[in-house]
Amino acid sequence: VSDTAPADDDGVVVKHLLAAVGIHPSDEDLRTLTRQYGDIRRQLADLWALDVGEDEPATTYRATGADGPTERR
Amino acid sequence: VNPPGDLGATAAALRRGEVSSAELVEAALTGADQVDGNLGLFLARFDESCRTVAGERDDELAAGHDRGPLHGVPVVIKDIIATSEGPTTAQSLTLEPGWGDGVDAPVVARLRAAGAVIVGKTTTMEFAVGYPDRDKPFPVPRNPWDPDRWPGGSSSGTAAAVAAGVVTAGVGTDTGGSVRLPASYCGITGFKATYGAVPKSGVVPLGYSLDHVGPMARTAQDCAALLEVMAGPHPADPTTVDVDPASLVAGLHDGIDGLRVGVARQDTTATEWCDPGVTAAFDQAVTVLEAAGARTREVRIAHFEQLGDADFLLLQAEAMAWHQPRLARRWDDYGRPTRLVLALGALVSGADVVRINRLRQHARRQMLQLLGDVDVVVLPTTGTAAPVLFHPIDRSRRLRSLFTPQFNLLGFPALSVPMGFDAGLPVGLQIVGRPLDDAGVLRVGVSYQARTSWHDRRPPVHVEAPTR
Repeated sequence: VSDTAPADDDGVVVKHLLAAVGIHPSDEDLRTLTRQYGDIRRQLADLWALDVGEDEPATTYRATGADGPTERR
Repeated sequence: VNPPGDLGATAAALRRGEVSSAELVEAALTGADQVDGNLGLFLARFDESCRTVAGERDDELAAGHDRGPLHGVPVVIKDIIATSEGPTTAQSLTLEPGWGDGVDAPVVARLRAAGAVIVGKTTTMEFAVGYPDRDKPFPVPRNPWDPDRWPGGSSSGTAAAVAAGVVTAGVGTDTGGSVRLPASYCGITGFKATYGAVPKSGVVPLGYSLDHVGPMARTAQDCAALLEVMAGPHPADPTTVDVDPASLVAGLHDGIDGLRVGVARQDTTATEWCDPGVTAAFDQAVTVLEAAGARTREVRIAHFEQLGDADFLLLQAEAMAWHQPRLARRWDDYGRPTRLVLALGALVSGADVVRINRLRQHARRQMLQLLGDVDVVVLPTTGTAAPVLFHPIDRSRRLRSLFTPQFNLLGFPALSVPMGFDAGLPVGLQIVGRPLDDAGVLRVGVSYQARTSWHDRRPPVHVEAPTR
């Protein structure tokens, strides 16, 4: 797991991101979410580090499930 | 007469007149009375309506009108799926009281038209996510093999009800493993068909592009009988695929002689996330497949761990899109485990989501290439047996031991069948195939279960089949 993900030790980033969608957790919930934020940013840093090739954007979005598998349509 | 506990035998006994639908329903209700207090199976029961419907199904059979294998068979439905009998709660205080009132989800309507009798709505985790919560006014589902343990989730009540013998079949949903995980923990069979094979409208969404509705029963053959009814395109769900349901269950008994089976040990049993007892059961299961004629070889699934992470991250982002108004208004009414999982979706950026979907497409191409070299891939469903309820466990370790979410992200069909026990608790074998080769996956399960009897084992907490 990458150790290059940004830290948010004081929870400011998490508090801001949640407030942006109207969510205002308790201090206890915020502390837990801040810890988990570190975990998911590390996971995401690993995903960003993977070589995923050079898809066409349309192909990328067709696979998101918006129209399901198309092999036998 | 004692009909065996699987759907096929029950259907045969019904047609021979050895048992009636009314007797099956009465046995299900009596059985539920016996074990529900211990196992926390039901959020709602429809005793009156299912007795009435069972009588109607019996009258039809007597008049020569046979709706098929599900005719007169009691089934249960996970309580995030709309049924016309009553409200859907999603095991939450925050779902609008009228959600889904008076209508059947397409899968329920199809089961009903095929003659199934809806006995009730089963427990889940709140909104099919999070973890059992003792602080909310809902039953905590428990495992019939050991009620101190979790039956798995989120299709908890359906799995436990089938395992305990209350019913022979039911319906769950699967966004990261929620059909296959409880199937594995409870010693039953559960199937997540190809994404788009089964309509998911009328189901409270969790991850729009990851959600699947799936059958749960004792055997792969029974899951196939349910799938054939549940599958097929539906105008209410534009993600459904124009596929003939019969093609998804064709050739179940053709055997697997010569089938090319990829064995994904390096991504699962060779990791720290898999217990030795699971590894031993898996090795034995592979031997059984080889004895049935399968040609096995070791394979790797590209980016296996990262695909699991990607599924859960995308699930959280997609769930946030649906839950945001409720989370903003009713944060404290959500269970704490639920709101903490859902809130993480606000911390995943738009660019992250695009990246995940690029990884998804890349991994899909790689998996399709692998499934050109082999016909199916097998791996354990999970790296552990059912954990003790409310026992503190590292969240990331728990998620790493699930070998299921990868196939939600990819949308490929995946079946879990019982493959033995670890310290007295059941564990599952997972079989994964190409998109829309659901029949090929189910065929492996049918062949495996023809050579094993793990699916016939009964847990300590169970009810007897109806007698006449």
